[in-house]
Amino acid sequence: MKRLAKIILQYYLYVFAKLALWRCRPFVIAVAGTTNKTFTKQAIESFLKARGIDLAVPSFNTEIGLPLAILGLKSGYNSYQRWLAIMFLAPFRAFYVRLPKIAVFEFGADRPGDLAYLISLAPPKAVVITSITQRYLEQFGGIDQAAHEYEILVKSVNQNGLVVLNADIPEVNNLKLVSRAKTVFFSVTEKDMPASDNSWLITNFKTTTEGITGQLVCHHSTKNFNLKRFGIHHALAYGAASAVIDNLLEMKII
Amino acid sequence: MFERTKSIQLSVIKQMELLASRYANVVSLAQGIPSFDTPSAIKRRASRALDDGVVAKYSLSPGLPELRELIELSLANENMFYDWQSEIIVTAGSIEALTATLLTITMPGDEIIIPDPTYTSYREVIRLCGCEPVYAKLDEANGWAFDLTTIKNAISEKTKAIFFCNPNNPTGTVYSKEQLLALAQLAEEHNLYIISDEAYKDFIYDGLTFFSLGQDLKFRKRFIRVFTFSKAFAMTGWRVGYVHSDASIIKEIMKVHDALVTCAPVVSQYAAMGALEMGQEWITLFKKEYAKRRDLICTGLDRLGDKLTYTRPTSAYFVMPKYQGTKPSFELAVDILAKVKLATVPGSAFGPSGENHLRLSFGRKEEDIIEGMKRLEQYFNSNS
Repeated sequence: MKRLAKIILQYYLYVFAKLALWRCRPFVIAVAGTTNKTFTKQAIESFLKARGIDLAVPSFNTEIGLPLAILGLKSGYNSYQRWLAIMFLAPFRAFYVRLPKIAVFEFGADRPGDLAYLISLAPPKAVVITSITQRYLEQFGGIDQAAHEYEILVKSVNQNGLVVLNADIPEVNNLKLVSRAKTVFFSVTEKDMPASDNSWLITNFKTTTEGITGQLVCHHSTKNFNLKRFGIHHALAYGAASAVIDNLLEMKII
Repeated sequence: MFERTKSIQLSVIKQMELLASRYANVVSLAQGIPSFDTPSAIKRRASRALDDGVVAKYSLSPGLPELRELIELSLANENMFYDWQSEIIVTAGSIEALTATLLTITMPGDEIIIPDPTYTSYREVIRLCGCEPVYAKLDEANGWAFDLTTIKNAISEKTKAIFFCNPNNPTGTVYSKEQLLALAQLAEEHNLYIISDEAYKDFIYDGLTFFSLGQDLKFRKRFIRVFTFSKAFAMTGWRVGYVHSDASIIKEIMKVHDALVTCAPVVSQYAAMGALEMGQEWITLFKKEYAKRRDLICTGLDRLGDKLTYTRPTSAYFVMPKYQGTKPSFELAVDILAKVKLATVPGSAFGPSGENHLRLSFGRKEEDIIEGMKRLEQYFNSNS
C-alpha cells in the first residue's frame, strides 16, 4: 500500500515539477557521480552567486527529492498530513514557483534507471561527472554497469551543451567517448602540465593549517586559490566549478 | 581476579538500575536515555539498506564513504571543516570513539584531566587504558563553569589530555566560548590534547548558542571531537557515532578503531545516513519536548526549594540538585528507591564534587517526571 502511494506521489510530483521547468526553462546543470556531488554543486553555485546569479535549490537528488526541490517544497517525511499538503500545493507551485536562470541539480543514482528518470524530468544542458566508485555496486552489478548509467547521462546532452569530466578516474574520463557535446576535463595532478583549452588542472595542491591551497591551470593561465576546506575533493570541486563557469561564459549563458 | 579490571567499576547508573529492577512500580529518572523511539524515517532508511542486501558485509574501517561525506557536510553547517576521507571515522557509538582516542594518544601511567563532576564512564575508560583520571573541580556557584586555576594546578608532567563533555552530563550546563578558548590556550601552553564529547550539543535551551573548539582552526592539531547519534536522534541502541580531528591524529586512531571493532555496525551506518538526511526535524521536536520537561522538573524542584538547591540546566536533559545534610549520595539514592520507588543517580558517581547531589534525568516521559517529582517531594517531606 505504502509502495503504491509512493509511486502515485512520485508521478504526481513529476508532472508538476516538469510543468514548472517547462514554464521557467532554466539552464539545467546536472551534477552526478558517486561522491563529491554536493560540494561540487556548492562550488558551482558559489561561483554563480559571485556573478550575481541567485540560486536556491536545495541538494535533493532522488526521484521524489528532485521534484520537491524544483517545486520549492519540503519533504513530508513520515506525515501523511504533510504529504497531503504537498500534493495540494504542488499544482500551485508549478505555476508560481520562480526558478533561477541557471539551476544546478544533483542527480543521484544508486540503482539502474535512476538517471534516466531524472533526465526525463529535468533534461540537463550541462553535466558534471565527479566520480564513479565502488559505491552502490551491489545495485548495479559491477563497475561497467555503473559506468553505463553515467553514459546515459552524458549522451543525453546535445551538441550545444557541455560535459565536464573528472579526468583522474578512468571510468569517468572514458565517458568522453560517448559525448556529443563540448567535453572538458578537470583533474588534480602533481605533474607540471601545460595549460590547454579543455583541461582545468589543479597543481601544487597543499594542505595548510587554514585549509587547502593550489593553482588552477586553465585557458593558458594560472591562478592561485585557497579554500577554508580540507580534502582534495574540494580542489576537484573547485576545478569542476571553474570549468563550468568558464564554459558558460564562453557559451554566453552567463 | 584480573589485574586490568581491578580498578574498574560497573557504572553506578547501571548499579542503580539493577537495584531498581528488584522493585515493582519504580519510576526511573536515573538512566540518561531519551524516551523517544528512533524516528520512522531513520528506521526506514535502515530497513531499505537491509532489503537491498548491503549491510551483511563490513564497511571500510572508517565507515561508509557516503556517510562520512554527509558528516563532513553536517560539520560544515556548524562551521567545522574536516575532510571526510582522512579526518572522520564512524565509530560504534561515542564510547568506542573515546576508548580508541585514549588508547591512541596515551601510554599507561599518563594522566587525563576530567571535570568534576562529569560523565561517570569517563573514569572507567581512562582506567581501562591504564591511565589515571585527575579531577578538576567545576565551579558550582558559577553555573558549573571551568575553574582554570584548578585545571592548571591539576596539570603535571604526566598529563596528556583534558577530556570533557560539552554540554556537561550530569549538570546540564554548557561551557562558554570564552571558557573553552581559555582552556584551549592552556592546553596549547602545556602541549595537551583536548577531547570533547558533544553528545548533547543539539539540546541547548534559552536561546543560548553552542561553541565547539572544532570551529577554531588554531586548535585543529590538538582537538579531538566525538559525537554520537544516540541522543540527538534517539538512537542509543544503534551504537553509532563518529570522531573527527586533524588527519595526523585520525590516521593513528584508525589503527585502534580497526583493532577494536573493524567497523561500526553497517546497518546503523545506514540509519545514521537517514538521520543526517532527514533527522533535523526530529531534533527540533525533541528539543522542544525536553525544554518543556526541563521546566516541569524545575517546577518540581522549586517546590522543594527549602531542601534542594540546583543550577537550572541550559542544555542536555539532566539536572543535579544539591541536598542538605551529610548523608552520602549513594545511601540517599538507595533510600529514596527503597522508600518511594524512585530511581535517581547518586552524585558521587560523577566525581567527588558530585557528592551531596543527585542526578535527575528529564529525558523521560512527562508522566514519569510528574510522578517522579511527586515521589521525591513525598520522600523529602517525610524525611526532613
